[in-house]
Amino acid sequence: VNILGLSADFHDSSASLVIDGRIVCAAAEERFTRIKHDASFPHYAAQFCVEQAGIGFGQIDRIIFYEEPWLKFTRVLTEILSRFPRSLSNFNEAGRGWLTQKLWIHNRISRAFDLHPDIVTFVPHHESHAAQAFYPSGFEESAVVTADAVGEWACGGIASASLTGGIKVLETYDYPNSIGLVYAAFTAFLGFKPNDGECSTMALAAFGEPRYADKVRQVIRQASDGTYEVDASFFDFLGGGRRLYRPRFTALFGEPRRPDAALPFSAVGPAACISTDDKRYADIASSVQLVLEEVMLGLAARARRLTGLDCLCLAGGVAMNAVAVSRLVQERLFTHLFVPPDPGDGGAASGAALLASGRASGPPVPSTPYLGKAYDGRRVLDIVDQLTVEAHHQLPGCRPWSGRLAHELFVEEDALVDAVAEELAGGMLVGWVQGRFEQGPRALGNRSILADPGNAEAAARLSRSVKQRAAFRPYALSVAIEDAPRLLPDVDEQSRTPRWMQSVHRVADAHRNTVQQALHVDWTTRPQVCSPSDNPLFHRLLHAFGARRSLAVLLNTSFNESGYPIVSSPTDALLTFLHTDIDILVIGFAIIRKVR
Amino acid sequence: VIRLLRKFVITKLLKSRWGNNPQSLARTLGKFADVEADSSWHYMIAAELMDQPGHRAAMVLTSLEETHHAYLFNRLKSRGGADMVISRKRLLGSAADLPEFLAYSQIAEGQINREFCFIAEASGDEDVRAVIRSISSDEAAHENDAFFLLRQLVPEAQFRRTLRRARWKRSYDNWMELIHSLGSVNAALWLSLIYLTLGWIAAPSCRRRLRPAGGPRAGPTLWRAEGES
Repeated sequence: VNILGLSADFHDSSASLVIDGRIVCAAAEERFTRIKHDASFPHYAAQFCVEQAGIGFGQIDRIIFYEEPWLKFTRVLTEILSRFPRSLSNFNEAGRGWLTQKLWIHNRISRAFDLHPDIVTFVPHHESHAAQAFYPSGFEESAVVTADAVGEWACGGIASASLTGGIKVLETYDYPNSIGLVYAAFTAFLGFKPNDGECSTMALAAFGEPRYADKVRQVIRQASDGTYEVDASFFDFLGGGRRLYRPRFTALFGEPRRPDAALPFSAVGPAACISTDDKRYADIASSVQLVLEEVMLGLAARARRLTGLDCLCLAGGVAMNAVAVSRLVQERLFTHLFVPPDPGDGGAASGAALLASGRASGPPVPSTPYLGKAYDGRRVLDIVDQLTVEAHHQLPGCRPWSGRLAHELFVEEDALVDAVAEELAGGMLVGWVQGRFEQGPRALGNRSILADPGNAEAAARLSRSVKQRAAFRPYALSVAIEDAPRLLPDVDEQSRTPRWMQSVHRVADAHRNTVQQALHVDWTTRPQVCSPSDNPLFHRLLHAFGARRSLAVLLNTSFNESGYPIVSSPTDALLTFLHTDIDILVIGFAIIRKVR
Repeated sequence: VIRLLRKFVITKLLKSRWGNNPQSLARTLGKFADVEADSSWHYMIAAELMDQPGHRAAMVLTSLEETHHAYLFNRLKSRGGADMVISRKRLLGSAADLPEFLAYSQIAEGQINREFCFIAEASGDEDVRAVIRSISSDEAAHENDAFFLLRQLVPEAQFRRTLRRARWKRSYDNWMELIHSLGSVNAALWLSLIYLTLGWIAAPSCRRRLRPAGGPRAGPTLWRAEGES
């Protein structure tokens, strides 16, 4: 049975193909269009899915859309009309989007792929999330907690799931009771872009103290039984953009931060002069992070009570908050915790398809994040000798080079990983493109920029002339599974969350200097514990680097420039390589160098 | 005449608007960043479809320059990184579309370049002028490159036909953009009418629906695969 799952129209449009209960491929539209969080109809992603599976659209048995648009429209309309007569512009804006596009998704899907409309069905948003977390988890049965901004009406929920009984939603938290939207509003208040800059809020939290926690608890009130309620009078969730909060909110927390103002904090170095306002912003971030963790813990405890199960699956955008996930791991409310590689709306396309296939074709097989497209790198190699790049077409601060490229082709894996490890040990920044790209927002060794995590100069160059990244945001770390116990003492063998960078962990004192550039200010890191079965080539590279240092570790960040999605094709990677200060590009078994 | 009118609108009317409202200039610069990023993406796709390595390399370099232009516009706009809101309208799906794409690019690059010159003239900001002038010289080169590459790819008779078709397509797209804007105004008028005449009737029940219910709602659904009891 071939089932295509789709998500579209809000953010992170995606397609995922499930054949006989197994996810064969999944990709976000942004990887093909180079528009970050692209919300447009996932034409290219769906096209990739059928090509990858070697089938045509005519062989698709069912298409499942990840939410119910009419139900969602009633929520949007209700919210807008409840503000009558002050919501005319919202009504106009929403009316145009919904009446011309979003409401007719059923027909748009059937027309786009030339298929009978009857094979297109919808499933509730949070059930898609529940399925995307449960079915690939490998658990027989599990409690499921979902939390994101908002689906149709539900913003989160608790479900029990089993391979034999399907997914049973036990309770939902309806709009406006959304911890995702509250976190997004704080993100906007702190000067970051909502629905994108939440990771910045999480990173900033480490520099503050939760002095405003009581005030945040006025905004989200949690009862002792784990249920919670949001006081919507502080927010304007219709506001969009950066106007997600009301004057009542600023009366409580003070003036918002200007988006273009620099923050003086640094994850690895000493902070610059910190003003009172900077401290306030860090404290507010810390407070909202703490309250978010409390709410998630409360929900998890409630899920445990309601289901009586030992395993927990987590999904929805809030599950991308790695610090909150770590808190859940530390509190040990459940024996096992699983977070999928793409817990947000992008992965919900997989969830929708799995939901339909989960019981139709028997238990789905546990999944992998390497579900994207693989490319033939040779078409890039035969042009590298013909390129001459002018220095003024690069980001400022890039190291000077001749503008010419040279490449070297390897036959054996060992020689390749040795050569790359040698360059990394020499302080080079390496763009690493191998095989199929990852599902979700985390680079897990197939579309990564790599560096020596102990080299401060390389990390500074990476921040300045590649990622254009604020100093307060830390980088992630990849570590070979054999060295993980030495580096991350609090990670036990049962723990599965460090596998795909889903949680943060403290680094052992003895190794802090070795990996300092991938640490946050609180000596934690967001690790990818890589095993040979996960990604054999990357695992070998880690060990090749480890042979030159005391640990098999690498600083690992996504292969993209600021504002763009992670690269997909070798041409895309080559463009980023040429535009930034990356020294070496590895595509398959070829190394491309900038001739200096 | 249209070109002169356009120049007049940009240099005279927009100049005063931008002078009074820096946000307006920022929006325009952001739109240019989007256009350049879109152009970069198209050249990247063209590079992936071309056979000859020399042509592919030329397309990659053009794409790189467009990426850099997007970065420069975004930097002028004082915001970090690209922030694209447009959706892609792919101009080429296979290698057979390359001539049409190159012809279209040649026309569009010329048009955009002229617009950039008007904007540079209209902007009172010296930084904006300097950046736009440097971008403008790249755009002129792209226009020429597209023209000569097209010449190499197609025979003479087809060359002129392709250019003519591209010119028509560009005019049609511009026309549709205008129609779309007019359509939006029309839609806004109708929607406003509906809102003002019916909104007050629905408002009380909508307010009641959104009143905090105090905690979670029991989940009634048990999802079952189709055909199961």
